[in-house]
This record gives sequence, structure tokens and C-alpha cells, in this order.
Amino acid sequence: MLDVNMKRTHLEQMRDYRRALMKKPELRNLFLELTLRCNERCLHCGSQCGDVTSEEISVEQYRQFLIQLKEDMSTYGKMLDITGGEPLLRKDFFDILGAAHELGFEWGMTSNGTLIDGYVAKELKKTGMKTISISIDGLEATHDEFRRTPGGYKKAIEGVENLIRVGGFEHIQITTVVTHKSITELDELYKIFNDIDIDSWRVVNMEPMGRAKDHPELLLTDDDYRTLMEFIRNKRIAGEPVSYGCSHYLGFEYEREVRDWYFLCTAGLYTASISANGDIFACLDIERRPEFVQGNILRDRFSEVWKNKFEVFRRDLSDDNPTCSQCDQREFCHGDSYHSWDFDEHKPQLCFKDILF
Amino acid sequence: MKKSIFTVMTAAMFAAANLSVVPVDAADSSGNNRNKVDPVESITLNDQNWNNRDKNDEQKVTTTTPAITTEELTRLTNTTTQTLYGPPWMFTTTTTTTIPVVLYGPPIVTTTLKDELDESITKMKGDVNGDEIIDTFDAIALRRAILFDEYKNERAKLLSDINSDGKIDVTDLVLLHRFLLGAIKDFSEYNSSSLSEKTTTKDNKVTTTTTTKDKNKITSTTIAYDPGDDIIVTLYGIKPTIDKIKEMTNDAFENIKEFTEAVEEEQQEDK
Repeated sequence: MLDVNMKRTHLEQMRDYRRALMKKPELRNLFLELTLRCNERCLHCGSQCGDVTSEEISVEQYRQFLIQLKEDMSTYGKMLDITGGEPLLRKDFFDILGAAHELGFEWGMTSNGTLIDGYVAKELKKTGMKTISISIDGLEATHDEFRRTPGGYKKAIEGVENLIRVGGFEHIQITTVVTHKSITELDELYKIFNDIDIDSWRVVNMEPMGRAKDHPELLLTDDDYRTLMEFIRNKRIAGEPVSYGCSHYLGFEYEREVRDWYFLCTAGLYTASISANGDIFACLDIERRPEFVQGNILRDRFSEVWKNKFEVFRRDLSDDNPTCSQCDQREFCHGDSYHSWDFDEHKPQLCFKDILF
Repeated sequence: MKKSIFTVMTAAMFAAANLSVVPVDAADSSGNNRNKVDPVESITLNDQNWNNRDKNDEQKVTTTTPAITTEELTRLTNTTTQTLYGPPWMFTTTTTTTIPVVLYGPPIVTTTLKDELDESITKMKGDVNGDEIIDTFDAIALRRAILFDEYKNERAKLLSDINSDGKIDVTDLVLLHRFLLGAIKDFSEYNSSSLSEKTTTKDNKVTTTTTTKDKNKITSTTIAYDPGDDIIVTLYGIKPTIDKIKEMTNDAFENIKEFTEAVEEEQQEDK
């Protein structure tokens, strides 16, 4: 483990920085959920998308919103993060992102990769896509079974290869959501991905949210979590671009060792999201409750909402729970990631205390 | 998977903390089969007579440790500290070298890498790929060396430290580029002592102490950890912005610019 005293000092600095951000937030990530529709139906998906009707806003409405955003807040320091559903299912995808690109916004996206053929890869480059993260959740059989999509693995790998062939993107990443069933495949997956010219591999655990709640057998055990963290740390020690995601406070043992930064739930501080129907949220993974809708871009000016609302996300959730409020790590964890908070029981659905630290 | 300056820095951070890869069997998700071994308690000896040995019969071993030389003392007392966190070292490296002041006896003679190189080698500074010609291929090799810490051999490593400051970094690359462009004729006048007066300040995050080499202390700029500089890769792994990277890159270019200006100023003063 790296020096604990140094970590403590840095975590204290991060705590103070977070408090400052609560008073003066700084928008860096704006998620645009273009659609709820998806061509895969993942067992472990964190969202509730798939075979659903999706209220979607038009190209022109997006254009007006982005013009307004640029006028009020500028494009500097902001990244549009395009997500879904599967965003490439939108027939007007390139019109929307073409408009964003013309206005000077930088953008990246997440995709299941199955729709990225040679033509789409070239169009993505043409419309200024900088970064992309493609989901591959296990070896072929596992991936296809979890995603309930025969041939999904092959198509996703082909999607990655098409992007690499076109080239010129800043970052091509593969993301793997690890389950109790797929954790045994990490070494084999590493061998496969290591032979592909991707920029990084992001390895995260299945979160106890969305559709995943219906499959408790897929959730990682305590030992699985430790195995996962050790796997990532070992790869990083060896200089490999493997990383854990942004979620969860990991304690002194793993903070800064399995990812390049200290824990900070950026929801409402760096991050805002626009859902498929234009509702303004902090992070799309936070439970979609009516009280969390901060406004709608079709009727509200986003910059004013960002400035004057979002109070619910600019506070410590640990204050709401007696155990959390007495925890010796609360100043660094502050109730952990917003998306994993149980707003009925007022407790985190996943806490790594006594698992990792 | 691609290695980048960031992954190299991450590995270096772990190496600096003496962390090495711990074997983990990802297949053993239960964790129950992992052996918990106490490295001392688990030692077993094949010699059955060992436990019944007479300790008086044990062979006495006398060792003679050669006296430490002045040169070794100098080397041993050199300490280097580097920031482990925050922006990559490439842009915010702290290097403090302290050479102890001799209170008694003859003065310690400081041995530098430059002293160790004979004149013929000194003349070949910049020949990173070892082909006895200093050209663009050396710049490519040096760039790779800085990124991946890979050198053809030990000689190549010595020849890569163009300004003889004991580090191989972007300043060496800048000097090599300037040489290849004809802006400078040789590297002899560029050494670490020229940097000793350099001071950089940036807001309140930077602490700078500048002392010359003559006073046996060389200290360069330190930038403290700033949480705002953490590039938090949010959900889905998308970089929040490349602007932060641009800022860092610009900082690096600014540093290089300031460095070259400082060197040129010193040259003018010398003239």
C-alpha cells in the first residue's frame, strides 16, 4: 500500500475541495441520454432501458439547448457524455452530435458497440467524437448470455476494431461490469484485451440497482470485491491501463491505487444529466424519483437550474444515517456514491467498510 | 492495450513505494483457498539434526566490511523525494538533493555523472541509440526512453542525461531538439548548475526554494497536490474534459520556455 499519511492528507484536501464545490459547483460533465431504447437486454444493466417507449427530444431542441448552454456557460472545460439506451439507435444521432461539434463542444459516448461498422466509425470521427467506452462484460458465452444477445460479443469486438482501424480518437476504452459469475474470467479477458490496441480497460462491479436487483446471484461477494481490487491494483503496478470506475469510497487500502483519483461523487458538483425527455438530473444512475428532477431543458434555462437548484445533491448523505454519521471515514466517504444510496431506507446499498477497509 | 505516460507514472509511483505485483488467482473468487503464510514460521529445514545442534559448535564467521569511500558516502547521502500524487511528475517533479557539509577531515569531493564520463563520452551526449551519430533518431529514442524508461544499455542512459542533472526528462529532449535544429552547437555548457537559480511560482500551490549547487543544495519547484487537478473519470469512463490535459501540457511548454530563457540569460551574462 502507498503511504497512508500522504493519502490521509490528500483525502482531507479532497474533503475540503468537495465542500468548496458544494458552494461553487463547476460543470465539467453533461450527460445526454439520447434514448431509452436499446438493442440488448442486459441482465445486469444498471438502467431500466430496453423495450420501452422513449420520449425523445428533437435535433432542433438539442441544438437550441446547446446554443443556450454555450451562451450562458461556454464550452470550455465541459464534456458532453452521450449515453442511452444505445444512443446509436437514434436515426438522427449524427445530426445531434454534428450540431454539438459545430458549436465547439467536445463529446464522448458509451455504446454496446454492436452498431459500429466501418461507416459508423468514420462518421463518429467526422462528427468529432473524442472518447468512447464499449461494454464487454465477459468472455463470448458469458457476454452474450448476460446481454441476452446472441452474437453480441463478436459485434462489440468488431465495433472496437472498426474504431481502431479508423483511428484518430483520443481514447477508446472497454468497460467490463464484473459479476459473481464473470469474475473468474478476468485473467482471460485481460489476455484478449491486451492484444487489442485500446487505450484502457475499465473494470467495475455490478451495482445493486436497476434490473440487477432482480438477480442477487450475480452480485459480487465480499471476497469477490477484494479479488477485483487486487486484480486491478496488480495490473496498475505492472503499468497496465486498467482502472476501477468512479463509484464508491474504497478506504485507505485501495483509494488512489485502483484509479487515478481520490473518491469524489461528482453528481451535482461536476456532473449534470439530461434524460431522454429533457429532464435535468445530477447523474443518470441515481434513482429517478420525481423529487430529483431539477427542471426540464424544454422549459427551464439549464444554467439557472445548475446555479440555483441541485441543493439535494450538494450535501452529505451520511447525515441521514446514524451509522454513517458516526463512521470514522464519513468525512472522506460522506455517504458514498449518490446512485447507490437507498432513499427509502436512508442508507448506502453498497458500503465497502468491513469489506475493503 | 496502450501504455501512456500516465500508466508509466502510475507504475513508477508503485515502484517508488516498493510495491510489486501480488499473485492473485482471479479464478479463486471464494478466497478460501488462498494460503496465508507467515514467511518466518513456515520455514522448514531438511536437516534433521538442526534442532539438536550444539550452538557452541556453530561455525563462527568473521566478516570484514571494507571502509566506505568518500565517493560512496557522497552517493549514499544523496536523497531524492518525488511527489507521488497529483499531476504527473513530468510536469511537477520535486527533486531535492542534499549533500552533507563536512565538519571534520578532508572535504568530500562530489562525484557527478559528468565526472564519471570521460571526455570522449561527453562529446557523444545525445547519442541515445548508440549509433555514434546524433540525429533525429536519437530524439525518437530519447522520447521513448522518457516515456517507457527503456535504454539500449547503461551507456545510452548516461548519454541521455544531456544536461547532467541526474534525471532524464523533457529538458534533455528540448536540448537535443535545439541541437538538431542548430540552435546550439554542443551540450557542454548545459548542465544542472545552470538551473540552480531558476524560480517558478504559480498561485499559492507552488513552493519554491532555490539554492545554488555551490551551497551543496539543489532544490527545484514543488507543486502540492491539488484535488481540482484530479481528472475524475466519471461513469462510463469518459474523460470529463481534455482541457485539463491541455492546461497541463501548456504548463509543461511554459516550463520548457522558461527554462530555455533562463539558460539563454545565463549565457548572455557569462558573455
